[in-house]
Amino acid sequence: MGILQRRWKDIFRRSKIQLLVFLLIGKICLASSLVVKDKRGKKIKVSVPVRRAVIVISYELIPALNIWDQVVGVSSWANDVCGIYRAFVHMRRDLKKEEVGAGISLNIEQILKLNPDLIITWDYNRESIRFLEEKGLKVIAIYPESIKELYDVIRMQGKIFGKEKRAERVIGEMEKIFGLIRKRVKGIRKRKKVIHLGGKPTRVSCGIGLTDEIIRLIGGINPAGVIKKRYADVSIERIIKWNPDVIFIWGAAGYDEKWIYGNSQFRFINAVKKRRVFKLPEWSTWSPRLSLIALYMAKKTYPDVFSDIDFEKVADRFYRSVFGISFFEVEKYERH
Amino acid sequence: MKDIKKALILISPIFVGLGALFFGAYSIDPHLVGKILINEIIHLSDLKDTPEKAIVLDIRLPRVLLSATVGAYLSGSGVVLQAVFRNPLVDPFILGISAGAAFGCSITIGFLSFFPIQIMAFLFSLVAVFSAYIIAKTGGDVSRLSLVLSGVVVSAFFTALVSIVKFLVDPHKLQSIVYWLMGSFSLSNWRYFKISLLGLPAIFPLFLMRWRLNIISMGDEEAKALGIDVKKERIIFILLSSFLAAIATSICGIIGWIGLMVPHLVRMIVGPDHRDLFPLSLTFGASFMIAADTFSRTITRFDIPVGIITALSGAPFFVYLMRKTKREVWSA
Repeated sequence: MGILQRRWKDIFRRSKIQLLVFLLIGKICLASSLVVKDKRGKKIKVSVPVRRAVIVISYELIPALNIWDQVVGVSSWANDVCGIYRAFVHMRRDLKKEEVGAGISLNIEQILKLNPDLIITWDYNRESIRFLEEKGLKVIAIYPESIKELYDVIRMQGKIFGKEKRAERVIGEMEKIFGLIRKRVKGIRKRKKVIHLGGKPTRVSCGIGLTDEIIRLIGGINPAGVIKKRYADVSIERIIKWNPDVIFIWGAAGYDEKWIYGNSQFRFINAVKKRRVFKLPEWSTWSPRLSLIALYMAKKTYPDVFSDIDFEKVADRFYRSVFGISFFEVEKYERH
Repeated sequence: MKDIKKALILISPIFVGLGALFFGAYSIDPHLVGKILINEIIHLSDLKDTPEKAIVLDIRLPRVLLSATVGAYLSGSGVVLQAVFRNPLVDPFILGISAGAAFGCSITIGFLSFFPIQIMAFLFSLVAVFSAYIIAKTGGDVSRLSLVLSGVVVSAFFTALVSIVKFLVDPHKLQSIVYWLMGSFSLSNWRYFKISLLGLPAIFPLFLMRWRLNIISMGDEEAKALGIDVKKERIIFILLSSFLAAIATSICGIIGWIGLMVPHLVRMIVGPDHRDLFPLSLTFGASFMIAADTFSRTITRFDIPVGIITALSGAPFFVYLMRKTKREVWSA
């Protein structure tokens, strides 16, 4: 009987140890994988932290989350249009990443050569995404259309790269600026009509997307917001009918405020009459810099309300905190 | 009956164009539109410079005139090339004009932003046509088949170059290229309209030579027997009509379908005689383009690409006419 009891105790003790080991392993396993739902609604299981990522879009999060050593490839656009990326790469050559083609036409062979464990791209090129997935690669498709969705993207990248705290800090810095804008424009009674022109002077940002949300956030009214699309081509007389008080031009558009002022067809628009047409900085909106774009727009729309705000000073503080580099240093590498 | 139809088609651009001036996003009292127009013609009184006046005279009027001109050029070019190539599937872009213009536009937006897009698009569309001709000539005789084939080659070549430019440029410029390629009248102004008039010197000789298209479309042997220098005249026709298409494309981008469809529509209505077919294709093309553009800018809050409207409205009309005529009209 005594022997039997001892055996049972022994089995029980060993089982406990085995269970403990099993639970520990299980916990480790759970901690090292994460299920992410992307813009397509697809669930992707990712082993975290990601060590070899290719970032086709949202590359400004590389310095923001400080994930330089976890990224092996970027879209050629990073080097073409992103001043922050260019500034860092110029200062430290070893940070330069392999280019995997442009955002919409990826060099799939190059991507495969890099053997990444994750690719973050936009939700545009579904064919390429499907092809990459067929090759066994994990792809997360993003397309943030609101500030909340942009935060979700930042948080998601924070999680998969093991930089949750840093992601929260970035969001916190963005919120500080958004909060400042919200507070200042809260009391504005007469809201100005603001439109955002895109690649050509008759292409407007409509009711879906970050630009529309930013216009509302800065206390403006987007007359094109009634069109439930991301962008639309409209006639010039439609713009005259809307009669915006302020016009912003997309930073990378091939024309500027001078073109608008010089075109007599626009002469009856309030924004033109009062010289309130501004070309935005050529920055990505899928970036923490969205908050600075909003501040720039707010300051131009309501100059009296933001007269005490020194934009460059705020931007410099933001850059140093989020990207770890001076705004003035990056400016040297921006395309103007 | 046919004469009435011809007369209606001939004067249709005046009525369609005038009608189009009354439609737009900005609501203007029709009386005021009439007053502004009449005052502009016979200057009854000094009208103040109001938004309404600016919209009618500086936005709608040049847009209507430009769309009419472009519609006429593409249709006229289409009817000539269909006759010269004796092929009902030919359109004004057969010799690579659209691909050449697209390349001119792409490199301007991508790398030569200091240069006007229209000029580069025009230059490269002519480069495409001449390249097609030179390639066709390398085999000796410039036959219709060799021209069509060289046109296909040149188109493919320039399309590939456009793809390379699109691959190389940044996303922002890429978007601008894509917009331009879609074709639109949204930025029409008096300057563009005046530029479009450069095509008129090509219209006059084509108009005067239109009867010869009847002979050329009969076939080389018959034309030669009737004393026509087929090779020489074919080249003249091709160059003049390509010039028209190049002007149209360089101003407003690539608007497809109209140059292919309008000649067929008119042929079904008035028959295949090019003495009528050419001028009536010009006027019908003008009316059709004005109507399509007016529709594209008024049906929704945003502009629908005019090429979509021409295809959507033209195709059912085409089918209707085909069923109605039920006869072969493709021969002089």
